[in-house]
Amino acid sequence: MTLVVCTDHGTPVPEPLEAAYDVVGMAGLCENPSALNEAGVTNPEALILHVGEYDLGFVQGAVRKTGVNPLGVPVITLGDLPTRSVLRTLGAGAIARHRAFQGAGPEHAKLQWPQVMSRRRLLALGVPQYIAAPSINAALCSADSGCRLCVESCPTQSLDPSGGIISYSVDTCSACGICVTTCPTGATANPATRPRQITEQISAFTKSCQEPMGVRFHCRDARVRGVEADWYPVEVPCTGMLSIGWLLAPLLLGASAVSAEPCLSSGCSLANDARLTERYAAATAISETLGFGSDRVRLSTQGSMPDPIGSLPAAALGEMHDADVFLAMATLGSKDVKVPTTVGAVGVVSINEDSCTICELCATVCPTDALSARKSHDTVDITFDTMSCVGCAMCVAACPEQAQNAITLDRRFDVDALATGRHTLISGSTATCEKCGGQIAPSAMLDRIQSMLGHEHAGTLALIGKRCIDCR
Amino acid sequence: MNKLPETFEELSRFRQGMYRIFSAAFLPPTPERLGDMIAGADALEAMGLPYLAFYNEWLPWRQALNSIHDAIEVEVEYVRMFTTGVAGAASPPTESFYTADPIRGEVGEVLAKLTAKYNTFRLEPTRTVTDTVDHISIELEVMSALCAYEAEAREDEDQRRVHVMLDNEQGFLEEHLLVWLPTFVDRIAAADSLALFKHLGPAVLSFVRHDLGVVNFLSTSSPIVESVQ
Repeated sequence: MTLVVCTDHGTPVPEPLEAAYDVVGMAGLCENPSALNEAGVTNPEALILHVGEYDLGFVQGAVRKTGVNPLGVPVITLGDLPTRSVLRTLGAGAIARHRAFQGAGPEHAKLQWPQVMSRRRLLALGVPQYIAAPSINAALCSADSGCRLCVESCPTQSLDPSGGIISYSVDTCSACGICVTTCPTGATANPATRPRQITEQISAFTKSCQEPMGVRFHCRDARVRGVEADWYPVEVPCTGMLSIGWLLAPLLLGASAVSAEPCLSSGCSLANDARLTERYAAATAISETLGFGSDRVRLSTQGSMPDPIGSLPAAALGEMHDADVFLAMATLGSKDVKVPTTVGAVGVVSINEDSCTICELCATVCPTDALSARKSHDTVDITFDTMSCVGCAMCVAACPEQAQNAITLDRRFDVDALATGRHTLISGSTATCEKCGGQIAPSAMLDRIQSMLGHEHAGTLALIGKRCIDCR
Repeated sequence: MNKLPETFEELSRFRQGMYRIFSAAFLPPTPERLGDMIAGADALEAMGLPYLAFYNEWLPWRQALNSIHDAIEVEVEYVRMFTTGVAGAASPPTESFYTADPIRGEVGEVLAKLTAKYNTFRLEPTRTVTDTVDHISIELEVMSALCAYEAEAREDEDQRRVHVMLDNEQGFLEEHLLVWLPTFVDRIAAADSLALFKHLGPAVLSFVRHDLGVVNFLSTSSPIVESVQ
C-alpha cells in the first residue's frame, strides 16, 4: 500500500495523511518506471510524476507487473514544484480515489496504441496505453421500457439500442463518460471514475488541506498541465460528462469553489464544451439562488477563494445525482427555492385528474420508478417521488391522453417538491367483473371510452363495463 | 526490462506466439508440452507482454503453470475437463457444442463451414490431428497461422496481403472464436477445476478480446506510411 513519488527536480517526499499507507520516493521514476519493479514495490496505489517526463504506457506496464490493475492507480502529474503540504494533499486524494476503486475487467481496458516516428522506421509502434472504458449492466438498464437517454447523449454514436438492449462499440467509443452521468439507473459505469471515487478523492483533499481550496476537474488529456496553486485536480474522462450534481458536490465536501476546464483550453479533442457550458451555467444559477454566490463554479481558476460552505462525508452524496446534491445544498442555504432548468436531471410531474385515465403507461415506461402504479382489488393509484425523477419526459411521450394534457413535466429544482417524498398523484376506482370478480379496467378509462363511443354502441359499452375480457 | 514489439511485424510475431501457447494449453498436458509452454511463456513475457492489458488475467495462469507439481493429476483433470467421456466433458472444447444443435444435424454443418474457411486460408489440419476442426486448439492455431502469414506479408512489404490477412483474422475472431469462447470459459469456471485450467479461461478470453481490438487498430493504421523506410 504505497504512494510512489518521483523525486526528480528536488520533489520532496510528503508525509502520509494517515498511517495506512507508505510514501516512497524514487529518483528517475518518470524516465524508468520499471524502477518500481526493481525496488520490489508490490502494491502501488498512486503515483506522482512530472509533466512530459513519463510515458503512460511504460508506467501502466510497470504497475501491471506488480499484479495491480493500472486503471485503478491514479497518476498525478506535477508541473511546477509544489510544497510538501500540497504534495501530501495530492497524495492523500489519489490514495483515497484508489481505495474506492472497485476493480475493472479486461473489457474496460480500451487500447490506445500510439504510433511514433523513429529512425529505424518512419512509423513504429509506441507503447500501448489503456484508458478506462464504460460498460453497461444489462440488469440495471431500462432499455426494455424504452429508455434511450445514453444513446441520445453519446457524442460518437457508439451505443446501439436495436433489439431492445443497449449494445456498445468500444472501438468508436471515446470513453468520455457522458453516458455514465446521463444514465438514470446507474447501469452505465466507468470503473475508473465512479462517483464514490470522486467524492472520496475530494474529501481527502479537504481533510488534508488547511486553507480554503478549489477543486479543478480536468479531462485525462489535460493531465499534462500539472497542478495549480490552491486548486486540486480531479481527473475525469471528459469535463463534458460533468452533471450539475458533479459540479456542485465538491462544495458540499468542503471545497470553496469548483472549476472545470473546457475541452478547447485543455487541448482535448472530444469537443464537449457546449455541454459543460450549459451545466456550468445551471450550477452557477443554483449556487446563486441558494445564496452561495455566483463565483463558486468557474470555468477558470482566477479570483479569490471564498470560505467553504459545508463538509459532508463522501458517503452522504451517494451517486451525486442532481436532486440529491441540490437538496443537500438547500439545507445549508435558502430553504424555499425553485430553480427552473433545461439541463438538470430533475422534474416535477403533475397529473390532470380530469383527463388522466390511469392507464399506468407512464409508470410502466418510467426508467427510475419515480412514477409507480399501486393497485388494490378495486383501486389503482399513480404515485410519484420527485427525488427519483430525472426529467426524461418518457412519461409525457408515452401518455395516450397527451393531447388532453393529462400529464405534465416541469423541469425545476424545487426544495418543497423534493422534500415531499413519494405521494399519490391520482387515485381511482377499478371496475370489477360481475361474473368472476376480476379487474376490468380503471373506471376513468371506461368513462373515456364511453365519451369516445357516445351512445352509438350502448350494448358494447354495457358489456365491457360489466365483464372482464375472459368472461365476455 | 522487457523488449516491446517495435514494429508491426514484431507485433504480428508476438501475437502468433500468444495464439500458439494458448493452443497448446488446450492440448493434452504432457510433461514435455508443459515444459515447452513454460519456455514459451518466458519468451512472450520478455517480448513485452506486461505492457498489454490482459496481463492481469495472464499472470494467475502463468503462476499456475509454474507451480505444477503433479503432472499425472493435471492429465487426469484435463481428461475430465476437455475430453468427452461416458458422462461427457465438464467443458467441451469444441465450437459445435455451443453453436450447433446435434439433433438437427447442425454439427456437420459447422465442421464443413470451418473446413471450407480453413481452405480459403490455405490451411488444413495435419493428418496426426485427431480432434475435430472446431476444437479450441485448432481454432487458436489457425489464428496463430494467420498472424504468421501477416508477419510474412509485412516482411515482404506487401500491404495488400497484410490487409487480406487482417480481414481474415477479424472475420475469424468475430464469426467463430468470440462467438463461443465466452460461454466455453463460463463453463470452465463453473467446473471448479485445478488452478491451471481455472485461470486458463479468463486468460485466453481476455487475450482474444484484446486481440480483436489490436486487429481493429492494425486495420486502420496507414499502410502507405508504414511502408516508407
